[in-house]
Amino acid sequence: MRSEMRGPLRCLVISHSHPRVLHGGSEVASYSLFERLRAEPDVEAAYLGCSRGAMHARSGPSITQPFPDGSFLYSLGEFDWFRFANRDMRFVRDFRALLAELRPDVVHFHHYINVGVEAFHHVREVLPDASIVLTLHEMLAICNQQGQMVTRPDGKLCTRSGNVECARCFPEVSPADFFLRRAYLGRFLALVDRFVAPSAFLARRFVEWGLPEERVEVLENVPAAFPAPGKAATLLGIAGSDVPAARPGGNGLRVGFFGQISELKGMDVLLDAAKLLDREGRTDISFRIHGDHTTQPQPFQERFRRRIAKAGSNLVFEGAYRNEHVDALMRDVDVVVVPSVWWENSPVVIQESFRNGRPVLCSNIGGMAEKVVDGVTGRHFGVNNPRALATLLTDLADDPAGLDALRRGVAARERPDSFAAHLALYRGLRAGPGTGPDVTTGGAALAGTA
Amino acid sequence: MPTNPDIQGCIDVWGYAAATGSWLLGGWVPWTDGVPPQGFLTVSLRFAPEDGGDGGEVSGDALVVATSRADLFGRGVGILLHLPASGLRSGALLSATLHLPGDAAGPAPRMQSIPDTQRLSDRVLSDTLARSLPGQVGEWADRLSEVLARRGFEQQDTLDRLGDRCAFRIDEAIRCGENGVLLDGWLVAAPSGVRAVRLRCGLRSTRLSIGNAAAVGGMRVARPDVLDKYGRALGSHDVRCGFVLFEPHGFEPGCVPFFEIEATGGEVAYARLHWSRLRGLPAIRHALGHLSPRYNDVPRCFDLLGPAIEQLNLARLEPERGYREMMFGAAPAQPRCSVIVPLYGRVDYLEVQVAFLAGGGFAHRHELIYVVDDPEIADAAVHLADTVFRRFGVPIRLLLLDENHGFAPACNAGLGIAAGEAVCFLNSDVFGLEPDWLDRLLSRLDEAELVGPLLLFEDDTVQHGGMGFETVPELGGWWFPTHPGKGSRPDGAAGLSFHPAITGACMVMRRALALELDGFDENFVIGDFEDSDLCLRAAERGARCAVDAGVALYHLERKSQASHEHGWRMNLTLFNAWLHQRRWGARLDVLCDADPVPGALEAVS
Repeated sequence: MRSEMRGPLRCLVISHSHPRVLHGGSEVASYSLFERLRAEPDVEAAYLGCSRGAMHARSGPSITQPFPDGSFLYSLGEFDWFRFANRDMRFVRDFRALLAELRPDVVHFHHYINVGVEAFHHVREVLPDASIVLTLHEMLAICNQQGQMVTRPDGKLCTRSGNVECARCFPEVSPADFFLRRAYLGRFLALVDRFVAPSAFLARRFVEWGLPEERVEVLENVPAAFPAPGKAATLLGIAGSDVPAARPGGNGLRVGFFGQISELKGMDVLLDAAKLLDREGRTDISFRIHGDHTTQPQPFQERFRRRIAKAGSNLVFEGAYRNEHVDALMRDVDVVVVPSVWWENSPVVIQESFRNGRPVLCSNIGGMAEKVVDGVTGRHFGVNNPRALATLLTDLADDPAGLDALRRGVAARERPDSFAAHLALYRGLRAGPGTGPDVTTGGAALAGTA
Repeated sequence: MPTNPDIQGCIDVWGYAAATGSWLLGGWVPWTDGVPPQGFLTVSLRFAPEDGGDGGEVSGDALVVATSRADLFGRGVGILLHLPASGLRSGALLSATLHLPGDAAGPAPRMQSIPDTQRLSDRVLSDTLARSLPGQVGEWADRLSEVLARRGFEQQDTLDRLGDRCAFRIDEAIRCGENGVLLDGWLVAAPSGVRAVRLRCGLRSTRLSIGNAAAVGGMRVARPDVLDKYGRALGSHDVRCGFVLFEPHGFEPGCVPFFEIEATGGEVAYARLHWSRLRGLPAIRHALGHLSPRYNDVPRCFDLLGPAIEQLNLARLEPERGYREMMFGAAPAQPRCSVIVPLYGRVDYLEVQVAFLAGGGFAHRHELIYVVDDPEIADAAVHLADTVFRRFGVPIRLLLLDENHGFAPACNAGLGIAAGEAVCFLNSDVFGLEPDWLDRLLSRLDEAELVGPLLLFEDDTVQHGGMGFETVPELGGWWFPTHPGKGSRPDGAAGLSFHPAITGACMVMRRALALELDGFDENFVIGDFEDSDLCLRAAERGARCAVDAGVALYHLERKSQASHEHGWRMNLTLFNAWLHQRRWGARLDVLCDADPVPGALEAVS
């Protein structure tokens, strides 16, 4: 029997990190959801984040409330990164106590790393009537290569995992161990009532992997609140609206890159395209690269720095940026490029571009290609194909009307209210008959081999 | 020629010389004309029964010198005789028989003791014989003269005396049981350089089957490293100059053992025996490390060395076995079934196994016993068991063994503390993904006494669906377990099928039966064949073994165990096979001939 219909909807949002600890896309997404929930009149919301560092750890309790917003923070203990098993005994005690205290109707996990997949089991045991929702981010359960479904070490796109296939990428791990990994994850994922995938692409991948299709729902993440036009924003000429600033004349086509600078984000594709255009003397097309490369492997960092030093005058590396400046910086370019050479899920940078009225040029695969409608809100080019990107950029530079059409496409795009959809999902789960899995099946169906 | 067979010679003096480790005799045999018996002859000594027991015979190659004796008036020749052999005879010497070479006609010359001939000892004996020698000429007299003058072993290696004829080393002398020794070493000898190598201890003298003599009592081992170093200088090309041999009765209490190397010319050198420090598994591992027998070498090898391995294993398991038990949570007082899982090497399997047992009521009905058979993982196992219990709420009894004992002793230790009405022996790499697999197997115990599930590999092919047997010519033609259907897709048949045996990787039976059988036989070292043995012993009592194909578990059998690579692990499997063959060979000859397709004897749904 589900919980009584009276009273406010109690939601616990759980994130694998915390925006105060790490300001990444999924942290922000989970926190935005929490903030929106908290603002609802008939909803009680709580937030539990995680921290891998010792910064906020206290001896004794593993879950504390170090921030003024009253959110909870779990400081990690022993964790198995292969099976996402949380062996921290303090967590079992403290997480179960927290569940018993908050008694949420809905526990919404963003990701399963750091908390561990056994967390679903704890919820089931402590609160048999609560609904468990899990938002999927990377494809970590499917792929041991940081969930990217890109082969190791040659970086080819991968479409299907398997015990033997995965052991090819990781010769040090046996197929039998990949079998156990999947079985273990499956045993606990089977306890989840509803999986939320921010893209249809991601949903498809997880269904192909073995999640029951009827429990997977495609819902975009709840976006961060658009910053109100404060003093700084006014000075930068930013208005709190979607209307793009008029394109300054005579500047040519200004191309922006925003985000982590890494191999998988396609930095080499972008630099190669810039080089091609520089050689061709296209001085009317200029590149601005915004982002951080300092957390990448040393060889990549060195290569990147070398390439920047030798780059033509059409390219400027602007360095890392603070998230609150992204809107101003985006409005200073004409198009945003997302040249990733892995699938991507639902990159935040696409949402950011759109809200600033900027069309997106992206690789023609995965979540990127799904979020950018080719020829309407941006353009696709062949993944890992600098020549195709260069050609696309020349076409756009030569066709200002085409670019304007894309801007209109962005302005006119559909903007589904993902928060409302989340709320509807919760209410449906609370009201509906127990559609959740039968605990006694132990998840064998999910754990079976592919 | 010996004359009338009724006329026998006489033994004048006899005794055992400890210095030379030989029987020395003086006397005469009837002999009228022709070349008298001399040189190396096979001689048999017959002794009176000792303390009412059997008498006995000692025979071997003796150095014989014929002397002329005026007191015999041409009817016989004097005989002096040196027979290197064990001196453990307390009864009186009755007679000595000289076996002439095959083409010599007539009865063997014989000397008899007259009733009051005293057994002389050592120096007196040698001196007495030595006094008979002057005046005798020839090679054999010279040799005997050398023997009689020989000083015994004086706690010193004197191998350098024979340095131009041989090089000898014992790498390990491993004690096996009370009086036994397993010797691993090598001997490189110049052609016809060495006559014999003996292990001597007190009055015992045991000729070892090494060197130029065919290695009847030991296994020869290729030692290119040794030949490289000594072969050229000694003119030897025999790469199989290494040996492993077992001497079960080499020692006398309180006496210092040593090696006596006798050159063909009769000269002798001594080498001390240094006991190996190896015990238990490392000793077994060493003993089996150099061998790679195949085909008909296999039975010979293990008939020779198997008893040594048995002794080493026995000594390994003999001491009081220490263990600690730790409880994580409280198991039910009267569990329906005790699941017993030995843990060795990898500990993390525990986490996955228990994760799948959680939530289905297992904790209320059954008990879970992990036997940590690996001190190196003990701390990790304790920690993991604690976090697993807290996460999944399944109580765990953790039995920590002080040493690695192997599959059978570990299972038996678990059986010793089990409280269940039934027991389930389960390998740590077997995973049931359905929560009720155990209950379903238990429900079959009315139809068969030993029940196992269908075991699958991670790719859903069959790992085990019942055990059959086949002979393997390469491995001595012994009976080995087979797993029909292994690696194939399951045939989809449901229900019980009966087999001669089932795997111990997952096996359910009533605890009373397991106790009646004394669990697994611990003579099988580490883990091989003990499951088949248990099933065959159970079958002798009328029990039936069955696989329930409707219950499928995954068995992630480690590849290292399946490989047929040479080396000690393979030889250990052969040792276990040898034990199994000795016990069940005849039974399986009948059983498996009657059923040409082993396995699937009968199927009921």
